[in-house]
Amino acid sequence: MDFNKIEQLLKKYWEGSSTLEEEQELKAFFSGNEVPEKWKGEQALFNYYQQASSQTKDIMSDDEIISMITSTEPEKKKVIRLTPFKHIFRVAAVILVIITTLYIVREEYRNNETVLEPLTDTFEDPKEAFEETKKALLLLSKNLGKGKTQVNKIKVFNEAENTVKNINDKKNEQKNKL
Amino acid sequence: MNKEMFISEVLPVKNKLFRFALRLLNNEDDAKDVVQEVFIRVWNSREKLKEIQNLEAWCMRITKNIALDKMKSSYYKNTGGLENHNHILSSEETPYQTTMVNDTIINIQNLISGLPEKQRDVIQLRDIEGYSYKEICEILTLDMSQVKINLFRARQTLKDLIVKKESYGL
Repeated sequence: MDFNKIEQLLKKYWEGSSTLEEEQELKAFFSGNEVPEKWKGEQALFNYYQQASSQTKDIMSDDEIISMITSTEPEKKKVIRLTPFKHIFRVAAVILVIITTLYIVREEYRNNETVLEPLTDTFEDPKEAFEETKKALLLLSKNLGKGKTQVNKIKVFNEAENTVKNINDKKNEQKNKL
Repeated sequence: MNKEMFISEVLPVKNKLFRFALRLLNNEDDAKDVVQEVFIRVWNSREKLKEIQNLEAWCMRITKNIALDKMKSSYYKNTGGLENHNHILSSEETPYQTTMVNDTIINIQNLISGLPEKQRDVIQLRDIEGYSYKEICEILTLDMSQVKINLFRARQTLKDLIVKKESYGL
């Protein structure tokens, strides 16, 4: 083994300018038996690298991993399959809402039209119409008058109650002063 | 990607992913969880895999991201520590030799674990897993100069410590 070459490679290694192949060469050299005493430390380091790179652990067998990843699959597929249907229902719901609102608005509009029909004349002769109107107004005033006389009676009661109240209040005041 | 491709291209990286996750998290169980999650994520995004040039580096990057998420999450506590993964020793040596080797390995392991995060990751990827600079850039999402600087500093620290240890007769 050419120790000078190893010396150079080590120098390059410490400087961080060695290539992967050169590092591989160093690893191979230090795993051999003819390593001089002065490179004990380096040997330990490179041996550690090699051992660490072969460190394995039973994480999971390949079959277990395959069954694990494939068992997580169906969930995803279902979601994908469902989405187009979801969209159809969404679109259908929107169309339904639009149609019903249009229908309701149109119905409302039609009802309003019937209510707002213009008034039509019921009499041909204006005199006759005047007489009829007069009659109707008289009837109204007569009934209003009737109501007024009844209300006057209530007024009397109201006044009486007020005077009684006033007297009571005065009495209470006098009592309080005393 | 179909199942055959997954078996031939993703599964062989299993141990590399595990070692990287272990380096990041220092806990075997968490590292295992991370690797499982990586596989699920890779499988679920298998439609997009055609655009990815370096599948292995991509898997490593996902491993790093998931491990970092795990570290950030509140329930994660860095327990377990280094004593978890000292089983990399060969068993053919005498107990005395085993102890000797064990000691140096633990020493070096501690040295590397004690490095700053970026330097530690770069050492793991370059010197242990043997990735090229370009791949390391991809995995760690760093630029070339940062990768080189971190590698240089990490190696300098290791060199200083190893030389010092030797001079003290360790």
